Amino acid sequence: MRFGVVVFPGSNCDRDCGEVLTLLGAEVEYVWHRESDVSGLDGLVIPGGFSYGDYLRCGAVAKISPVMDAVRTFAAQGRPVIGICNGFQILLESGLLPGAMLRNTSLTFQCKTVDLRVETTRTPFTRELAVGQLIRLPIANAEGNYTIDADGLLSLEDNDQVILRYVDASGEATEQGNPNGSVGNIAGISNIRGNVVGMMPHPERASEAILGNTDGRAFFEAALNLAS
Amino acid sequence: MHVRVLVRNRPGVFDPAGKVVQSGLRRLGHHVEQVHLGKVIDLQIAGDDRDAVRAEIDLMCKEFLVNPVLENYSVEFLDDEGQ
Amino acid sequence: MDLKRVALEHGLSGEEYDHAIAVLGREPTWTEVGVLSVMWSEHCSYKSSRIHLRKFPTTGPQVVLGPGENAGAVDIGEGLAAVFKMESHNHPSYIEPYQGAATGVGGILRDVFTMGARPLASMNSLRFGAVDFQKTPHLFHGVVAGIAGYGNCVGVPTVGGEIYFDASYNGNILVNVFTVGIAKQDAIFLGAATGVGNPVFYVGAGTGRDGIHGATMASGQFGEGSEEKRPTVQVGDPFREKLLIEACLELMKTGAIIGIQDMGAAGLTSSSVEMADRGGTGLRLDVDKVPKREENMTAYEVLLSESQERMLIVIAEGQEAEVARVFDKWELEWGQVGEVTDTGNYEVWQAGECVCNVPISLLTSEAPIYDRPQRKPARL
Repeated sequence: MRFGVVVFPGSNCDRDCGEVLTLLGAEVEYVWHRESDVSGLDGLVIPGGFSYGDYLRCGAVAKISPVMDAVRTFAAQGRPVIGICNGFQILLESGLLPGAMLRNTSLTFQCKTVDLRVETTRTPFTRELAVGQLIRLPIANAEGNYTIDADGLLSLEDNDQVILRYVDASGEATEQGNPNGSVGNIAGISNIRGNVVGMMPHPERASEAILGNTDGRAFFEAALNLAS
Repeated sequence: MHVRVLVRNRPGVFDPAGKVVQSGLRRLGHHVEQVHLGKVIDLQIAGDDRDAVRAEIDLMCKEFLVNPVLENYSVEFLDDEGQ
Repeated sequence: MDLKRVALEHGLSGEEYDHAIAVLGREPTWTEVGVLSVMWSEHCSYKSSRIHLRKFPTTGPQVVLGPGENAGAVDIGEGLAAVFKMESHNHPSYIEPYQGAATGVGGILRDVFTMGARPLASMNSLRFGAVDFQKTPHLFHGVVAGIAGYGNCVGVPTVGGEIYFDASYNGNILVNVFTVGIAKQDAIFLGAATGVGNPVFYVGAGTGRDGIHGATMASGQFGEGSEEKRPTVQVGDPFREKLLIEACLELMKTGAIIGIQDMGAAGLTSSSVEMADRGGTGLRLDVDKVPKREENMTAYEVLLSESQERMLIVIAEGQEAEVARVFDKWELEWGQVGEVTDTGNYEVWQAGECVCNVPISLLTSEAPIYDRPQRKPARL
């Protein structure tokens, strides 16, 4: 399987994502933001980092890069796309996912491991997990406060688009378990079709035993298994 | 009184965000010679003595709103009827 | 213009100025006064510390590269070296805590990746005044935010640090930043300008008037009301630095680089002079070719500017196109600004005129060295 990792000026989690995919047996292609053809790939990862320094708004400048047209087409074909952290922000700015990202309510950069609950298994990235499964993944962001209007939120819930929620130690989506104030404790969502996923936590930082946590591995494995 | 404080980098102080926004615009086909990003701070402040309010705003800028090492600011009195 | 008075305003002593005249055999030009003052400043020359720094051990079975380059390198096995350095940015941080600390991080990152090592992690060692000292909260919050803001955006994690508060630091905080990277021992890049005729390239961000000190601006140079030309504090752009890291590491793989050095304190001057010094060569620069972000810059300003995120690279003759290819890809500025010569001199041209021509050795190995008086403090 050939997976693409899109690289924008300022992306910095690209190599981590590529390493994990390679470890899991995929062929990895680093797709420079100016490329316009991703048709030969089986999946796309839009990694985290600070594309364009987060200047103007997070993901705002990346969304007008030439590669995003190709990403749009790829997504429209129902193929798997995952945006992680800044990648999620880029998908939101591009309109490939609904809603927007605000500053964390604490107004600080949150860098820690958080408890999450899997909400759906209907996406290529979560299909090998279980609904209600509790996992722990690292977050590292200053703008992880997901927001969407009331109608949008209802639509997300109705269409099974929420993939991950921040929870407390007992697995409940409480205020205490929410590191950034995001509406409904939402940590990750998908589009209506389910092939495009965005999540703030970093599964690529929890995919190797040497780092002490492999809860993130399943996100990549599931997509690779589906593609093969 | 409604007052608008515009904060921007002093001339010559590097504005990395301005440069990036300029290239973004260029990529979309808009050729702009220069872009500078600043901040708009809108204040609603009690009082009807413009000079006194202005003096207080200057103090706020000096103490807090503006970094004099890097930034300049201008003060605009918006429509007194309220915006 | 009384050049001697200007030289004193620049921080040179009377004796130092006279020594320069004696070696040059003439009065220096305005630009040369700037170059001398900055190369003979404490920060660049370590003139008061050199004799003491020599007392430190610098060799050992694991030392791959000791002092003399931009960072040190230590063998960590498997043909790899840890390349690391720590540096202080105390005074800039006292004036503008966020940018002072941020540009400190930028500088230390460049010192590491200029050696061919991808930066992996940063740390810091901080000293602030008493917790209840009036300036402490502002400085503390600014410095911490600056280190975090720059480090996070550039993508190099800050993994640890130490901090102390004591009244003895009320008037002068300490902001020490550290970065470590990894390089293959057989792919460590040095900062020497060798190969007469090899082109010299400037890459990164455009040059502005950042960091040119007010004291050095004689009133004769600028009219009143020229607020725009007043010295400005250096602002770091971590996004540009990230691009610079990737572009430099990419260029390093092409084999086109002969020598590379970052531009830090004293900007273009110190890096070009130090590279020529290490190479035992001379350098000729044309400031007209330097990418600039301000108009009407004098040679003096271009040479002394401390604009951030810039590198100086000596390229193998014939491989110039590699620079354009890589730096255009990463959308960074670049310019072919000079060449390596065999004159042993630092020669700078502007608009067809030679504005500086001094022996490299005068600026480096023959810079003043002092043995300052020492005394054990009473409190010890």
